[in-house]
Amino acid sequence: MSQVRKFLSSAGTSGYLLLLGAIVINVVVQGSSFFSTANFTSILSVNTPLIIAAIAQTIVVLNRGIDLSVGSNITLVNTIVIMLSNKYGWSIEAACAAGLIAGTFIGAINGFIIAYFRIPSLLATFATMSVFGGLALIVLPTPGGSVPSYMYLLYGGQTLGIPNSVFIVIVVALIWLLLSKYPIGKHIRAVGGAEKSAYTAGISIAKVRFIAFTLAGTISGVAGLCITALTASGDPKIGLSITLNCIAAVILGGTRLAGGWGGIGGSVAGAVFLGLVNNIVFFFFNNFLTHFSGIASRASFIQQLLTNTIIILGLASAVFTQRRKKRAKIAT
Amino acid sequence: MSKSKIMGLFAFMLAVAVLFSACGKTNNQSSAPNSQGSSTPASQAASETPKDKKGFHIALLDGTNQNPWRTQFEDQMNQLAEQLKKDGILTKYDTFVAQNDPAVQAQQMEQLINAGVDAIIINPVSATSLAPVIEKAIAKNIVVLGVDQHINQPKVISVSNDQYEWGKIQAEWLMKQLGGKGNILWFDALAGAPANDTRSKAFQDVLDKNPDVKVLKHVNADWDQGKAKQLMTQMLSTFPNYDGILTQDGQAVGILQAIQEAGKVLPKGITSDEVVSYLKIWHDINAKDPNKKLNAVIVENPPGIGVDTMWVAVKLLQGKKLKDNALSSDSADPNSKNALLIKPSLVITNENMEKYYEQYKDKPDTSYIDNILTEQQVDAFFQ
Repeated sequence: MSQVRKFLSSAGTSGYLLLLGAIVINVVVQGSSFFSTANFTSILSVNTPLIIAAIAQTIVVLNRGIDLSVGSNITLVNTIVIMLSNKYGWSIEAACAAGLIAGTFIGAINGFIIAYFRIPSLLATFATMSVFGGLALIVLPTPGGSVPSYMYLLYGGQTLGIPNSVFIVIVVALIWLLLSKYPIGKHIRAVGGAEKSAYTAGISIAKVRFIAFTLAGTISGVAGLCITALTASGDPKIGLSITLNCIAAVILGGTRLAGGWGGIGGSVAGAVFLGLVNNIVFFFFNNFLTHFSGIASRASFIQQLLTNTIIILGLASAVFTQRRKKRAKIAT
Repeated sequence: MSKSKIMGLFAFMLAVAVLFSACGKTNNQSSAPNSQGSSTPASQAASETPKDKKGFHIALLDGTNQNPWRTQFEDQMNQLAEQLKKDGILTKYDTFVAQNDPAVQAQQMEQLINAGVDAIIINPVSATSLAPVIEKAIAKNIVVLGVDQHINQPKVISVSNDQYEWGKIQAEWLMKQLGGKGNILWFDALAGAPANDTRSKAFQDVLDKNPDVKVLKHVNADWDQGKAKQLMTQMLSTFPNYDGILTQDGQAVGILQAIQEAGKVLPKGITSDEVVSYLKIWHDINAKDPNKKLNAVIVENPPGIGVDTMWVAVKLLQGKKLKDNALSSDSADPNSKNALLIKPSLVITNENMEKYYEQYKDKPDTSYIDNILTEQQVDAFFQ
């Protein structure tokens, strides 16, 4: 029983429960084909960039910040990889390495502005979002380019029935979980939860904040590489929709926007939940509503309404359980 | 305390799940054998020579539906689908919208492939990002067509309105109105958007041939009435001596409003906006003073392209082959010959304006002047 209680009071509970609910509904609307490997691979490979971006965002949010430039970071990495490999003849591995370095550098610039110039992260990253988005347009003005076919076949494939993209998520998650055992991981949380106490305890706030944003930049870079492998091409607008979605995933996953409390597990669950919502709406229409011509003729509007209503309900329930947990914590 | 509320939430979700399953039950009986039935024979039929010419499953993946043009585009495709369903040519037609998220569109396409669809028509969020999924679909003999916007994939045919021709027709019309001499204001739309760049190039090519026409100012109004109005208000004071206005659609109404509010004289010529409100303003100006008519032109950019594309999809599924000369290259993808460009044929000027005004005056302001190819016209593209 205490195990159950421990699970229910952990940070990611809302994310896990929402995900569980979404899976149940998805199985109901999709039927047995939900359990096929092809289906898992489709859902997970398509949503891996979002999942990884949500991990990056979680680290920043735990540090009591927010990063609006995640999408631009992903876009810039995507365009840099394509430009280097297509226009300058770099090998795709070298181009990916350069992309990852670029992602880290973008994070470092964000971290530097926020930590050392003490500009609120909301403002700083709102500005850098446009700067990096603009750079992506300079690097690659129009969509195009390609990657070797083995790259997207590997990314979209599976090993032992597990989609390969899942391994990327696992590696990224393990790196953060490992870091959490070391002082820097604890400091990121501490600075987010209680900045003054952390300062009096001798933690360099600026340094920790800088590292948190740089780390988030690197992880966003990984997401950029994933989206390059997923789409096998470059597009200077590819990451636009990820920014807000990954923040939604973090909230769905129960991480407190005010910092200090939460974890990546919930965010991953939140991101998968968002992917499943699209899946649910797809199958709801494909299998049921298609038989009602009155609804079918308004399908695209009802789809949007349904998708966004489910997400709002999800966000509301996440915030609701979070508030309750915080109150319970104070009471004990 | 805490547990009970979370359990309550969980119970609520379970209840919703049960509700969904209860709703589904009645329809499931009809849909389940249908989906199984269509998935296997369809793939078999496609891999062999297509024998049946009926019973296809087509889906539209629309990147967004956030503007009236797309709404009209989807509505017309729905109407044709209903008619084709009655004829038995289609068994199933669905629209899925991606809210401008390329990942969502890829996911929808993956699921359509898993569900065993016969043809997918895509109005893409991104010209390139669907490449791996499209390859998967083609490997399963699914007919994939781009619509409205070009898809950079050698094996995918994109059916779109010929934007170069659209720009050329009206730029040439404007040059004629000015007698090849004068000052113009040039309003392009959103820089970087493929349609804008193609039209802008057509404008430039025509201007190059008319060296006596001087461009006073070249601006981008992003297909936005409000922005066009604001820019025009500024330019009325800086460049009062302009003769003509070269503009892309979605902007001319704003420009005219600016001129009227400032009480200035009308230009010697102004180019197209295909929205019905433009036709109404044009009619009102002419009705007010028949001696001072607005000298304008409308060149179609019809949402009916969706219906044209659906016909092409049906013909391809029925095993017909496109003529070699039907295809050309899109300016965004010059290396492949995979574009089926529909040239604009409907042009409205003062000569035939009243006729079209009568035809469209009861339509809402936001709907578009439209023109749909007949089945016979589509047949002309095929061998």
